[in-house]
This record gives sequence, structure tokens and C-alpha cells, in this order.
Amino acid sequence: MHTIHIEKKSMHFKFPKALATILLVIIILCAVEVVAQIRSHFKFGQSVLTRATQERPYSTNQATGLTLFRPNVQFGGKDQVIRSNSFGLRSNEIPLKKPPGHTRIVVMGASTVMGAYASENSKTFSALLEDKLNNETKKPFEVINGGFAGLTLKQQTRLFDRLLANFEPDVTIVYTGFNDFATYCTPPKKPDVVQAIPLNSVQLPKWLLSIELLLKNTVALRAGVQNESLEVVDADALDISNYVTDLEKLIETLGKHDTLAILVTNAKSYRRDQPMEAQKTLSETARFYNHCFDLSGLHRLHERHNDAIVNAAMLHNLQLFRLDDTIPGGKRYFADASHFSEEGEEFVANWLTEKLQSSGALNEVEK
Amino acid sequence: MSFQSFHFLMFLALVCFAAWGFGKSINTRNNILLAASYYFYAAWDWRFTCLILLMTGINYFAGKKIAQSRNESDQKLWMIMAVIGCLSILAFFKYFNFFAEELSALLKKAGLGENHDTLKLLLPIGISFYTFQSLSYTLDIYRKHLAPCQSFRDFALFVAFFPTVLAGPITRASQLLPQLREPQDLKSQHVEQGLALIARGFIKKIVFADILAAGLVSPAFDNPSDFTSVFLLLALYAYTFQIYMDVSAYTDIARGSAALCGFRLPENFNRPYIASTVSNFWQRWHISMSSFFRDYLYFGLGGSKRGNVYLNLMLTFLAIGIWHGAGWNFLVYGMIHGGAVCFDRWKRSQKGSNESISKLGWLLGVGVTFHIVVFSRVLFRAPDLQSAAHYMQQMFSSTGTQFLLSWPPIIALTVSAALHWAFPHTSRNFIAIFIKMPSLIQGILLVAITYVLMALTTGTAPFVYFQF
Repeated sequence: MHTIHIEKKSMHFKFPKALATILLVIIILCAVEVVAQIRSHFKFGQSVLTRATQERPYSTNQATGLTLFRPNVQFGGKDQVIRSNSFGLRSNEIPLKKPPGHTRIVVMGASTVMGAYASENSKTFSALLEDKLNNETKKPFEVINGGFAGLTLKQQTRLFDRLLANFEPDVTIVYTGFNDFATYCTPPKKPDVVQAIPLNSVQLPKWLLSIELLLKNTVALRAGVQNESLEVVDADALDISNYVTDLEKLIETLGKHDTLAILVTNAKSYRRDQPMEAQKTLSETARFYNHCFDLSGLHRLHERHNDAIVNAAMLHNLQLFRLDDTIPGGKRYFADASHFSEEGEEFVANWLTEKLQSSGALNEVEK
Repeated sequence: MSFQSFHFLMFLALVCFAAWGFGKSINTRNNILLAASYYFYAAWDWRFTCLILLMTGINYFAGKKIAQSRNESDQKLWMIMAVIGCLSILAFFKYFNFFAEELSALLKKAGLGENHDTLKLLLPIGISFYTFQSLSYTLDIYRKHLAPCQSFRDFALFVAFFPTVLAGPITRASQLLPQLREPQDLKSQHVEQGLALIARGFIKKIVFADILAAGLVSPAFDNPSDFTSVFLLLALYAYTFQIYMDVSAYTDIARGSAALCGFRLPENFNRPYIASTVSNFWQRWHISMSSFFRDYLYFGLGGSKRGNVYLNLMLTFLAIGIWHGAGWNFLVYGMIHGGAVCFDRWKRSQKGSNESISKLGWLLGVGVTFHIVVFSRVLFRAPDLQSAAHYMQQMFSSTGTQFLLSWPPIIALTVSAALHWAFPHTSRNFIAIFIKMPSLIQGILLVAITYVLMALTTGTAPFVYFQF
């Protein structure tokens, strides 16, 4: 009788153990997510809380239809503070009308130009460039940071045409960045294969930072474990004509607005002359965002895009600055695969100051 | 809906909580499970839910008619009609493309036109599995092993039960239907066992099967001409373990999911690569499938009692071969295994079944059997007979010079082999140890496994048996 009693009792209490395990799993997963959100909130001023309270730092810019910063906001955390001007750019407040005698330079591009890892606006290479030009030439320069994270070349052209051109820049420096790579990873539909018609599936919410952090920091683990069904795109065989066309359109747009256009080739942290292991580590974020390319594919695609920039500059007789040949790779100048560290921002600002003077670009503008 | 998706995780959680909540009310629980199972299947392609419903209807109706029929000839007629109906549907979807392409090629050879556009059919996922599962019900009623199910809903749930509908294990009506008629007997141990089985399944799939596929198998089979003979041989061993890890992973996840809902599914594998004969291999490999062929085809043909036993064996293995896919490679695969099983049978008949076997003889048997399985696997992995022949040719006289050596697949292969041969109980002990752990450790372990698996997978490699 006694044994039966214990048996019954233990059975009664056994089910809650499994339930406790499941609850614990949910609690741990939620706790990790909360920690990731708090970390992001304090470091970058962005979290699910800012989303929920509609205090997102982004809004749609009426003039361009693009998502830019909300005008005149300051946000961020311990590691980074971003201040936007009344145009939604990470730049000083500049009047539309250029003061007489001033030289205006617009630097256009994406997150690298915006200063993805610059702790404050004054540490972006655009801001540093303005300081250096003013100090070294003793003439008044205004440099507008026209970069915004995530913009493709087509969007950069629209931003220039509808907003940046209104500042009447004397010089426009174009650093296109790598956002156009992502378009290559959307697989084309195979017309001859019969496709299933699945129901909509439930996806992980995009605001989950714990998953993003995990995936971002473990690219190297997956690099050797690419699935059978995941096709790696051949960067040599890839059709980059859309990129070339978009580049042509940008140059055409710049030409319309009477500004001296300077094309800058894109630089990256990982380089072919580094040891393979270093290249793999340094390229992790690039491989995370461009998951359909392996390391050599990324090198090749990068070279092909830069070749397109070089060819466009030659074809249209534009000034070309080769940053990819100049800035050393590695962690000193890059915070990840393609964004500059603060030392990198400083390096680029110095280099541009020197190039603008030595190339005669500034003299040309003065004429 | 892939097992490796967030969608499945949410689906499983909802279904489990509903099944637990209504565990005592059989009707409500079964209604929920049926709706969930059809949703699970529809998530892949909603159009084919009609097919699964048709298969269910045919067998439910035939089962009822067989039970109602007074004379044997009527029963036989209903049974034959059900078999023809189900197998015709299966054959149409599974083999139409193959025969249409073969016919087109033949017409081209005969000079009767260059291009014959053929209707391309999409193979409904899991059709081989639910056809057999539903057919086993009719055949069991015909053989008087089973009484017909009174509830169409319960029978429909048996056929479409979400853990098994896509890739088995092929569960017999006598195994699952009684559980569907009972109130939930859910114990903590079942749930813990379910969680451990699912975790083990994902580890097998992501840490072993996918790594072996990506690091060794796919490169070798995609371009055999590029690689050295040794690499091609290594890739073939890797594939042997990849497919075992992959299929048994699916079974683990299916069994685990069923256990979470309070149901028990049969085991499907029993260390197949320690088999000392090919016959023994088929008693250990995909047991639910091989036992289906044994019980319903081999015994139906007469087994060893009626007709020629060797012919019966050959026909059974040819059927096993083409069940896996429409292609000459699968037919040859069936022939090789059928031939080997016939040879075992002949050898046994010469020696007598009571003759004991020495340890060395057993070891030799394991080695030979394993290599028959390994070398015949090339027919399983290659897309067609020509590719399989090309792979074998390259393996024996390779012109390639590449030898891809990276540690993850080598470690995965070594550990897979060690778990199979040297530490056979590790996999089973994992479940037992997990159940003994306190909740806190279980929770931490499951979260750690989740994160490690997420870090390792891109979550897109389907299970190998989905194509069958």
C-alpha cells in the first residue's frame, strides 16, 4: 500500500517537472533576449522599447521618399550618439543657400559614409574632413555628410537628386558602399521547375536581437557548413549590369547639377594579401549580410564593382580616388568587414584632405 | 513546414498545449490533432490535402466493406480495389515524370520528333509514406488482424498524423489507432523523453548529417572528376553515415513530437551498420518500411512457403528499390540488395540455421555487409544510373587531384562511426540521462543546444527522405 501511495504521489508531481523544464527554456530564451535588448538600448539607444513607443529614430523623408533620420533628434547610448540635422542627415545644420566664398562638399554613400561606428557626429570622416580642410587651407569649407545606412546606389542617386543637390555642392564625393551586393542573393525563380504552393509561414520577429547577435557572431562556424541546398553564387559569372547602369544614372544626375564629381573606390577590411584565417575572421559580417557568397566570391564581387567605378570614372573623365589601394585592411582601420573604426575615419579624412589638394580638385572648384 | 523552422516550433507548442489541455476529452483532442495535421500538410502545399483525403477515403471505405462482406471473394475484391486505387495514385505522381521522359527519349531515338513536351508533375511530399500507412490498415482488416475503425475522423488522423505524414515512420493502424481511442496518458517522462528525442534528432541532423553533406558528400557527388579516388571513397563512407543520421534524425524528431502529444511511435533503426548479413541489415534499417514490404508484399507473394522464395525476395527488393524513387538507379539498388539477400538465404539453407558463427566470422560478415551497403549507396545518392557509374569509375581510376580536407566533416564522420560501433549506447543513454537531470539543467541544456544548432545551420537543408 505504501509503495503504491509513493508511486501515485511521484506521478502527480512528475508532470510539473517537464512543464518546469519547458517554462525554464522559455524564461532563459526571454532573459537572453532582454539582456540583448538592454545592451542595445544603452549602447546604441535602440531597442524594442523605442520601437514600441514609436520613438524610432527613423522616419520617411518627404522630399526623397527614403527612410532617413527623424529631423533634429539625438539618440544613442554609451558607445554612440547620433544627432540628426533638420534634413534627417547625420551632419551639421547647414543652410540651403551657400554663403558667398564658401566651398561646399557633399560626401554621399551609405552606412560607411554615415559613420556606422563613429561614436559621435564629429568623429565621422566627413566632419573630420571639414575641420582639416578649414585648418589646412584657411579657407571656409562646409562638408555635408550625405550618407545613410542601407542605401543602394539607386537610392543614393535619388537622395542626391531630391535633397543633397539643393545644397549646391561644389564637389560631390561618391563612396557607394556595398548595399547593392544584397540584391545578388535573391535567387531567380527557375521557370521549368514545378513549384509547390506553401501556406504563409510564421517567421521569427525581426526585432529579436539575441538571434541576430548569435548569427552575426557565428558566421565562421557556418562558413564550412553551408547547406547542400544553399547555392553559392559565382561572382565571376554574375551579371552586374544593373550596378553599372545605376552608376551611369548617378553620374548623369551629378552632371545635371553642376558639381565636381569624385568617385572613390570601396575599401574593405579583408584583403587577399592577408593570411586566410584573418580574411575569414575579418569578412564575417560581409558573409553574414551577403550569405550567398563565399570569401573568394566576395573578393571577386568587390573587385568587379570597383572595376565598374574605375571604368565609369575613365569613361566620363571624372576624378577617381582609389581608397581600396590605400587604406590597409584589418581591425585597426575597420570595425567590421566594411565600416571604418574611428582610426579608419581619421585615416580617410586625412587621405581625402591630401587627395583633394594634390589632385587639383579644389583649385578646379575655385576657378 | 520544415521541422527546422520557427514555424514548426510554434506549431508544435500550440498543438501540444492543446493536446494536453483537452487530453481527457478524446473527441476534442482528436479534432484538434486532425485539424493541426491537415494544416501541417497544407503548409507545404494546400492542394495536396485533397490527395491525402482521397487516400483516407479509399481505405476507410474499403476497410468497412471488407469487414461487412460475408464471402471471401468480395473481401478480396474490395482489398484489390483499394490496393489498385492507392498504388495507381502513388504511381501516377511518383513515376509519371520518369516514364514520360523515358518515352520522350525513346521517341527521339526512333526519330519521331525532337522535343516532346511532357507534363511535369510535382511529387506530393510524403506520398509514399501515407499511401503505405493507409494501405496497411486495409490489408490488416483483410487479413483479420484488425477490426475496422468506426470513426472516419480517427482514421483520417491516423493517416495524416503530423509527426509521421512526411517521412514516417510508417506506423501500423494497430500501433496508432488504439492510442487515438484512449484518453491521454501523459506523464512527465513522456514529455521529457519527447524533448530529448527532438534535441537528439536535431543534433544528428545539423551536427552530423548536414556537416557531412556539405564538407564531403556534396562536393564529391557534384564534381566527381575533380577529386582523388581516396576522397571519393571517403565521401561514400560519409554519405553512408549522413543518410543514417539524417533519416534517424527525422524519426527521432517525429517520435519526440508524437511523445510530446502523448503518443508512442515505433523505433525505426537499430544500429544498421553492425548487421552481419544484408538480410540482417534490412531488419535494422528503416524497420517500419522494410517490415511493411516483408509483411504485405513478401508474405503476400508466398514468402518462403509458396512459390519460389528467391523470386519472392527479388520482387520484394525491386519494389523497395523503386519505392525510393523513379529511376533505373533505384531499380539496380533493389537488385543488388535483393541479390545479396537471396545469397544469404541460399547460404543459410546450405549450412542450416543452427550453425553457430565465430566472432571473426561475425566481424567479417559485418565488414562485408557494411561495404555492400556503402558501395550500393552510390546508386542512392547519384541522380541517375549514368552519374552513379561515373562516380564508381572515378573512384577506381580517378583523374582528379583535389582532396578537400577540413576538420568539421572529418570529425563528424569519425564521431558518427564511433557512436555506431564503439559507443553504441551513448545515443540511447542521452535520453535516460536527460530524464534524470533536474529541470534547471534540462532547461539550460536545451537552450544551449538550441543556440549551438542555430549557430551551425542555415536551416534550409531538407531531410533526405522527403524526396521519397
